[in-house]
Amino acid sequence: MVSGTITDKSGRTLSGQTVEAFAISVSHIPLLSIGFNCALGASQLQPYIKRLSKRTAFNTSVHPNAGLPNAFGEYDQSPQEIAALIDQFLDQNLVNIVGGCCGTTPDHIRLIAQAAAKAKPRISQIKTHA
Amino acid sequence: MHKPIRFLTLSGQESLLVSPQTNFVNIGERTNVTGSRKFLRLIETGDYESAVEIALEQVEGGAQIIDVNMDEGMIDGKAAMVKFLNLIGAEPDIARVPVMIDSSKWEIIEAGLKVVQGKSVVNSISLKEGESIFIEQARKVKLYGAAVTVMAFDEEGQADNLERRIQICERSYRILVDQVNFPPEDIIFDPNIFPVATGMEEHKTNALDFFLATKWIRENLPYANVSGGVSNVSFSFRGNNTVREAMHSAFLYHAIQYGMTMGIVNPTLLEVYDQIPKSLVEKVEDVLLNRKEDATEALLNYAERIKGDKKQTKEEEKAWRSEDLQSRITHALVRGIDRYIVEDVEEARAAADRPLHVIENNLMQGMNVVGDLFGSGKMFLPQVVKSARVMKKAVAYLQPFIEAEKSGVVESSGKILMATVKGDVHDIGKNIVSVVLACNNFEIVDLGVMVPPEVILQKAQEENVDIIGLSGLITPSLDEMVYIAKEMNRIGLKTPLLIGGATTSKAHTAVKIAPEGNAPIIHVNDASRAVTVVNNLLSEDKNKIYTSEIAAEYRSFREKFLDRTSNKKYVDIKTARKRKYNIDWEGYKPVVPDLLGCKTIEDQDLETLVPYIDWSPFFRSWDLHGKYPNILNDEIVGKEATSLFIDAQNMLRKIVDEKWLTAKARFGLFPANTEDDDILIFDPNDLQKESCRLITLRQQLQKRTGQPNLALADFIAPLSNAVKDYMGTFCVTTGFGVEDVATRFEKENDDYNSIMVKALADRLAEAFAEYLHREIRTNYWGYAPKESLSNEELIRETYKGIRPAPGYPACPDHLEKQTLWDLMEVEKHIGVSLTESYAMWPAASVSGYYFAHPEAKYFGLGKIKEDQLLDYSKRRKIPMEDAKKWLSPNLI
Repeated sequence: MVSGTITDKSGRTLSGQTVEAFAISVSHIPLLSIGFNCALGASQLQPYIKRLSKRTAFNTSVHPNAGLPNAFGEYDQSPQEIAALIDQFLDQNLVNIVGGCCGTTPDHIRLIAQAAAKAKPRISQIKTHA
Repeated sequence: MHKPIRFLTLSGQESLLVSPQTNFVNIGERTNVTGSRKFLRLIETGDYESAVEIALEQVEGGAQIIDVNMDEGMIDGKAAMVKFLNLIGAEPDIARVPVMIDSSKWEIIEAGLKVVQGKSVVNSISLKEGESIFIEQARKVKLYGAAVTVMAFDEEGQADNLERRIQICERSYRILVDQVNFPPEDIIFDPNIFPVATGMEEHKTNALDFFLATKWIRENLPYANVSGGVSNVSFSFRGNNTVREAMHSAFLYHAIQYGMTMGIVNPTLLEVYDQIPKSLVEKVEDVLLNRKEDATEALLNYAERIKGDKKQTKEEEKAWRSEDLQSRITHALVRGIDRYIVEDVEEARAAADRPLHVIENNLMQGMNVVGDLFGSGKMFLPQVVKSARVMKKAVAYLQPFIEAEKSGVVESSGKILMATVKGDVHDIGKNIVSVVLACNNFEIVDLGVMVPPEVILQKAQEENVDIIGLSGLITPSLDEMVYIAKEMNRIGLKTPLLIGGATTSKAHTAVKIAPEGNAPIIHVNDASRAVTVVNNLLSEDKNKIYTSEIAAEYRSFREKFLDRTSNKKYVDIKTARKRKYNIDWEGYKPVVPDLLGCKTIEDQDLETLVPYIDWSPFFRSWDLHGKYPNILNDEIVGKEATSLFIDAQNMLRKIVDEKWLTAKARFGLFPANTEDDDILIFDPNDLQKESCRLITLRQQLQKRTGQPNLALADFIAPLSNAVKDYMGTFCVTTGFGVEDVATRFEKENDDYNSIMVKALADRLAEAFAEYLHREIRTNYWGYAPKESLSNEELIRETYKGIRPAPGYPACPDHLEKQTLWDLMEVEKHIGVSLTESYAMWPAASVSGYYFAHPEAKYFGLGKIKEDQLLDYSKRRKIPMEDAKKWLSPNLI
């Protein structure tokens, strides 16, 4: 599994790569999955996961934070809120693996797991290497 | 089932897809020691800085991949390759494109593959040394995840005719695909471009053979690409650039039609195919396609004739000057060029019936284009501010003519009052919003900074403004805004109120300000939204719907917010103190500062501070969001960020060289111990004498078991303990001189540079704080004498110790600044003063504390309970009412 981090709304990884460049750079390895985690909440991550999902034949993963931290560095997103957002990923067939990163608790994970149990895994629309 | 995607994809920091929809891919060739003498010289003499410049020129000149070659007997090719690739990897403007690692030595290629970030191209491998080495190298290329260029070369030598080209490429392809399992789309063939018109009979078909081999490869070896070094073809015309350029572009024109997908090209040695003179292109094509027996001779004669003709330098930049008047004016406004605006406006004035019409027609037409481009995200804030500069200059020129005519004033779209509230001195954001609104034909009544509420209300009524805009950066300003909303309500003033500035938020506006007023109160978080909001408010059609939508939005936001905060549990202050952060003082031996007491830096050299600047906040102050340096090649704002950055660098140079600003500092290091949440500062000359008490506040949010409730006092040893501890305090400023320079620019109608100098002064003040903190750690206090950190590490704050500032999350109490001022006699020594809201004047100043304990860390206080507030008012010796006012943003 390879998971990268998009650090802010510039849409770049810490080393400066775009979603596509990041995917291209690691796709020569026969990966189980490729995805993003941390730094952003689920709604901020969605556009990037969409772009990734569209261009990779690998399974995709997402582990968002429980929203963006508030002014005091705390995470406000409730388990229900994050599960609702994860639902959107699943409905749109964007991911194969889901989970949570900073600010998520066992309660968050429980609801995310419940959401995932109802969904079908994504089937990649593209085939790259044989 | 979808068709498999099998196109070559490469990446630097950005991706590069080579598909039928992609145009021909240019590979830059100037970073090659075998092809460029200049580059070789730079590498030999170790001038890597200039060598990196060459790479940058290549990318800026349109290279989509850059070829790097270090094959020279006199240099250590492997070391040079690694060093150069690492250097360009750190330059976002270069690193965005993929690299072609070019060498005939495998060890150099492999060293290069280990350091590049993206998916690069190896140039090259071949069957020259037999199949086993070829296979071994191909496997490694695959392992490193690169694409590969395969030369048409085998055990017998380089392919020099069509049959050999085809035979070697096919054999290479089959080995790669069948034995190595190499992705076929990652194979790029180089079927050898050789010179033509050499006078040798056997060279006549060199170009044509390349074309036909290319065609065969593309038709018979699925997904493979074709590349080549184009300048080889014109080798026999060295010194005659006109002919060479024509040959290159004609060669490419045909090669692309035969299926060539990429090539090593010098973009500066490439004529536009359509612009080659007919007579020349015909002769060149006769040679390339071997169409006539005497083709070479004819081209040589032609070349002889035109030798020495200097190519005219193109002055595209000035082409727009020959367009019609309105186009010129619009162009000047859109591009922010003020050089010719007075002359163009004069021309328009001479042609117009009345000078006013020039503003209403010519200039507004241009500004409408600017407004549309800005609104649709095609222009960015710094550009709009530059447009405004041109507009102001034009209007200033017209003003005397308009007054002479006594025809009144220009009809504006609305009148807006702008002010930074009482006690606050920060005006960069307010000025940006004012400029943007002024560009959109709103009349601005700017009351400046530290404006008392009475003045705001009085002026709003006198001037009969349509909207009031309030700005502030420090937290007490939030209360000022609440107060103004209340006052407006009391006197029945129903002018819409816009709230903006760094500490303001939708949450605060919705929860604290909006319920106090009876007029529309709207939080505007960035300048680009200001125009839309103002237009909606002033449009008769949209006003009602818009304001009721906002009111509903804020209402629901408020309800949600109150719900959420009431979920949180807080502990009483006694419990919180029990759960303090426990440092093992027994095992800690504080370093005694080399300097005890206070010290002043009268005139800090600015040059020293420049490397300490953190640029990301600078871009944020211009509404360009992203991390420096990546922001410079961001897909959306990159171009504008770069241009802004260049302007900033130029001004910074002047600030330093011409000493526009004076940097001063006052700081002190003192013996210190704590008593509960107070930090006692002792007189270094008389340890029994308490100089002052710093009052810290403690977190009260109920936390998970084992998580401490922090206060800054936790990082200093308690008095009850035997450990003698120390702490520091400081104030730095780079603000003296800012006002003069900014005023000078404003007088010249140059808001862009006026805002720029303030933004840079702010950055220098922060840089000074960073620099001084380092001096404290390594020198004055000396608790980390051996520290050596890069600037990035400094910005990431990887050092030991912290420097929190009063008014920020760890200690939101602004009153602490007064204590610091008294302790260090700041105003007396360096002239920085405090306003009634405890903002520092001049604004480009930073103050705070130094804590040295390695476990000291930043945190946010969060909300506190009434019991701590009461305790605080006693410690601070102020009435409960005042305490409430100063800490209001932190009360539950």
